[in-house]
Amino acid sequence: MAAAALREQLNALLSSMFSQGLVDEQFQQLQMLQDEGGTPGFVAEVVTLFCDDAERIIAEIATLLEQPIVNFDKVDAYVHQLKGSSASVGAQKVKFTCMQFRQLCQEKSRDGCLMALAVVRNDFYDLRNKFQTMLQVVPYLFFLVFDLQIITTYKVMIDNVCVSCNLKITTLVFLLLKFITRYIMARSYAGSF
Amino acid sequence: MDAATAFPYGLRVLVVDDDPTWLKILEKMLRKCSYEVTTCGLARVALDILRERKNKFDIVISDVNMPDMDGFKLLEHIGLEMDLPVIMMSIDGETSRVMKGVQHGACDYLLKPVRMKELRNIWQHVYRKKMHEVKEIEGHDSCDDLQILRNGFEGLDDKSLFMRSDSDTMRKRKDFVNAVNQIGFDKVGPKKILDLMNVPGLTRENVASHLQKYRLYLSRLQKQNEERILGAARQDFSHKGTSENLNLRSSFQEQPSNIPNGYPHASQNIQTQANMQDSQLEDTKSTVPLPLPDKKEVYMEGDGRDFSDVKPSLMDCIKSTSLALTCTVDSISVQLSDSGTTSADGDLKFSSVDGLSSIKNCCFDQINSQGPLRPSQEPSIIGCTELASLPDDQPGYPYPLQGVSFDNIPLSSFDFSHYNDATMILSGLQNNWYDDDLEFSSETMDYPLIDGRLFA
Repeated sequence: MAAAALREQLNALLSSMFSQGLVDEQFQQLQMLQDEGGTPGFVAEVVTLFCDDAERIIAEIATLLEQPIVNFDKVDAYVHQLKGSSASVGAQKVKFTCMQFRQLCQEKSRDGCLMALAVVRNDFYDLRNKFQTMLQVVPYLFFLVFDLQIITTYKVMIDNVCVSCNLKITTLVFLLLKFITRYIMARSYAGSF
Repeated sequence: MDAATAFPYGLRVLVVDDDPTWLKILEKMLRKCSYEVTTCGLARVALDILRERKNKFDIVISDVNMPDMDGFKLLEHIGLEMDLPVIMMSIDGETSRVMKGVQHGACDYLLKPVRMKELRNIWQHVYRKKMHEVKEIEGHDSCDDLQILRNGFEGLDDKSLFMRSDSDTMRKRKDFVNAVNQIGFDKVGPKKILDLMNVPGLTRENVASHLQKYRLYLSRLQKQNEERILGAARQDFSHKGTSENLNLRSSFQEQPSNIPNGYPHASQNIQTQANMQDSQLEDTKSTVPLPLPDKKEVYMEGDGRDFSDVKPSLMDCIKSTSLALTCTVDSISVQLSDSGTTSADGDLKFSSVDGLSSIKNCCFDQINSQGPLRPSQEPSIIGCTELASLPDDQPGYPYPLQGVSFDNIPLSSFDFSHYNDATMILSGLQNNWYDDDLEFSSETMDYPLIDGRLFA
């Protein structure tokens, strides 16, 4: 089934992210929080929040470094913020880069900071791309599951239930598919993450 | 008793962190522990919430690094005003920081990323505090005290234990402050205070520890003020202060009537007060009579406690100990900005009024002007926190599929947009909250009163 193939791809993506040190154990914690809580959108939400926030912080740092006189304390504060944010989703590589960035801030070297900013930016974009791929693939998993195989399997059952309940088949199909979707979504998230 | 076994569930937690990602994660984790969570992105807003909904929270978890207010300062405020247990959090685990946290009164210091097991155990701090309060109360033998307690607590439910300790503590504090004033701050000692207070069951140790806390707080405030006076902030502020001066002085007469109308007026009002007072301070140290004492009265009615007698006496006592502040425009202004941060919406709590002796009336003014505004701001504050918790209130997944026709619509794209809308709206909203706040905090470093509140 196409869904299985996609799920495999997703798992491969995730394990590569782990092995490359892009994400750490905290990311797994987030997944666990989602699975145990039964809220499929949780990881996606957190990841999106992080991406937006990090984008904003990086822009602020860039602005600060462009000033004629650089306020290194402010830059340091922002880098600290970014470090905290990246720790929240388990963005390990970004976090380490931030730590190095802070060292350069202590040294008050504008060039050093600009270089560090470039590295942080790269790392962050890299991670963001992977997150975005992950987020795009996952919803597909739900709906690819609705291929003909499943519907034909259930058709007989649907017919029987219709006859016994005296319901219109369309209403029944709606209800059924709603429940099936819910189940499969929960399963998909649990399985793929 | 039933409450003992059911205790950790439904513990009311307030989480304060400037990072929206962490807010989301912590909220989720705390909900999993079956705690009742309220989140907050700004320290000032958090203080407001705590003051508004007194006795509605059991414990506060706060980040250390926050843009609008230092986490340690918030910790102090909460400890002195509301006496709630506060847990600090940070990604930075350096010993010096942890030490600072403990010194400022934190119950615990967690390192980010925080684990579930650490959060699960936070109820112990609440329980420990409760037990301390109960011990103090049970030490009282006098019928008078019990009478007061009983009278004060008619109609309370099983949360009465918290409330009892609260009211009692505030009353004791008031007695304490009165005693300190009477003795004179320089000559004060635990034994003397104890005798004067005449509260049965209060031990010398209690008084001593409280006195020490009080002294530390005052000295720290004074030190901060001194640093500010000497610091570079003065130059910036005097530069801005003079320009503000021209605009606002003329409209000063209309200010008092405008106060309830808007927050910006309030902050300007304070500035004008400062400037006005500067000119007068050269002559006398006495303060300008304010046109707003009646407002203060009105406002106080709403509050259960009566602090009107505390403040003047406090002022006198602190005046005697504070340095002879050379009354320059800068120092007053700087102190105001400091007071803005420390006593933001300083309610009728003596702690926020401390250390600002020569600006007594400015404090009153602040309190008055910010008082009536609070009710209007509360709905928006609540709105934001509710929004922050919105996703979890939805039925488990952001894909409402009711009424979707399966005939021809490519489902994936449909639900994409829906999902994206939901999260983008939410993150956009939170980001807006952020962006505006940051903008202002950088532009108006010297006017910390003007913050994201304008956008509430």
